[in-house]
Amino acid sequence: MSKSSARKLRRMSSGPQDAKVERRRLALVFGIFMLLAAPTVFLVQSRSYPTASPFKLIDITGAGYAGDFLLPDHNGVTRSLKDFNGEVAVVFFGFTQCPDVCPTTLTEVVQARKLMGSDGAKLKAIFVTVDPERDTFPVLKTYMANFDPAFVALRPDPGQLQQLAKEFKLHIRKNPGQSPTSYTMDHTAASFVYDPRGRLRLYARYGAGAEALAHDAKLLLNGA
Amino acid sequence: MHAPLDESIRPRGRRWLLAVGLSAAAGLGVFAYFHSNRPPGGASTSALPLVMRAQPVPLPNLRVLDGTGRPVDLASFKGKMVLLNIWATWCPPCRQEMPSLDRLQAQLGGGDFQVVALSVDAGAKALDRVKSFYASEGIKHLAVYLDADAAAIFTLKAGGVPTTLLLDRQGRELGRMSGTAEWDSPQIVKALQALLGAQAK
Repeated sequence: MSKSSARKLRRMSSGPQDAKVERRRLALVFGIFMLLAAPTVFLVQSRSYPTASPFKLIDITGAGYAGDFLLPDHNGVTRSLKDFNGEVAVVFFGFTQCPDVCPTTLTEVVQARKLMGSDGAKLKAIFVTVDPERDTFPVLKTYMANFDPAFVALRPDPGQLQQLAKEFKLHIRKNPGQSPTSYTMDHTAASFVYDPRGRLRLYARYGAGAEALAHDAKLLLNGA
Repeated sequence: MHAPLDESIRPRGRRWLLAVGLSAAAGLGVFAYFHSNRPPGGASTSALPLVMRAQPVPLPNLRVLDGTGRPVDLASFKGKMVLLNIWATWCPPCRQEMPSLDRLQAQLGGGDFQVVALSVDAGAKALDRVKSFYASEGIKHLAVYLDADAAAIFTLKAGGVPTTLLLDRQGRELGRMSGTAEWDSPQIVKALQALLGAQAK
């Protein structure tokens, strides 16, 4: 073996030791990072989810969208949030000809009214169709008869629906079916909850449950 | 010349092999665990449209009304296998699959199996609406059950209607699905018969 090749060999065999040092250094950097990251994550989380919120649904008080509407209901009467002054209004979107599985939001509001006892009469569901083509006024009238007579179905025309989608930041998409009338609609399934002064306060994900709604609606009626 | 290099690499190569081997073993273990916990007759349940549970899940009791307005506990069906269909008259897909549930009850219903169609219709006229739907669709074999408080949706965590649960003879959930099926199709009838045989007392 020549001298130069022996040196080369030494350099090569020192490789694994270099790697060991490198690994130790990496571990140290990672440790320091974790020490700093953990409290930061905790602080950020505790700030964006204040544990003091009395609501079970998502508090979106002050959100700059989903302000109001002016639309005809299933009886042809033009409605806006003013009509629900002194009450808690739950606004959500859908269509009556659901193809495979039907949402149970209206049933959930019926249930929440029962849970609220005498206050229940002040909780109102406002169902807005995203399918005015098939959800005509007579169809909506028949449909709403299945729920509480105090509930309201609104029918925007296609132009109003576009405006509404912008105002409420809705995702609405028509999926063609096998025939021209068998299409389905993708749409935002969440609900918007307004306080007795008509201000947007809460956001309820689909399936949040009647109990959470009844609890929060009571708080809003009591001036929360 | 390359010997030292090779030596420094080989242990790492072995470690990789070990890691891959251990992950594979763990995966196999998890698979075996879930496989062994499948309900008896697991092979035939694949023909059912339901998402089967790894093992039977006990359910909270549910008090509903029968066609005469008298209270009935879900627990009172214990001893039979039950196909529990949660539906409503205002739900088009529910209405569409109801005749096939009626035919399934005609075919398999008896002391050992029952289709329980539970309506979540609300309001004072709910019972009338269900009965007039049965009459107009010619539903003859299904009994009327009403859950006017829609408790089934919440206590059984049905995300929408229709939702259908299969319960074993102890009233535990074997599986469920949301959406419709052709309930009296030969595959489903055969799978249910196999399950009834496999779970025989």
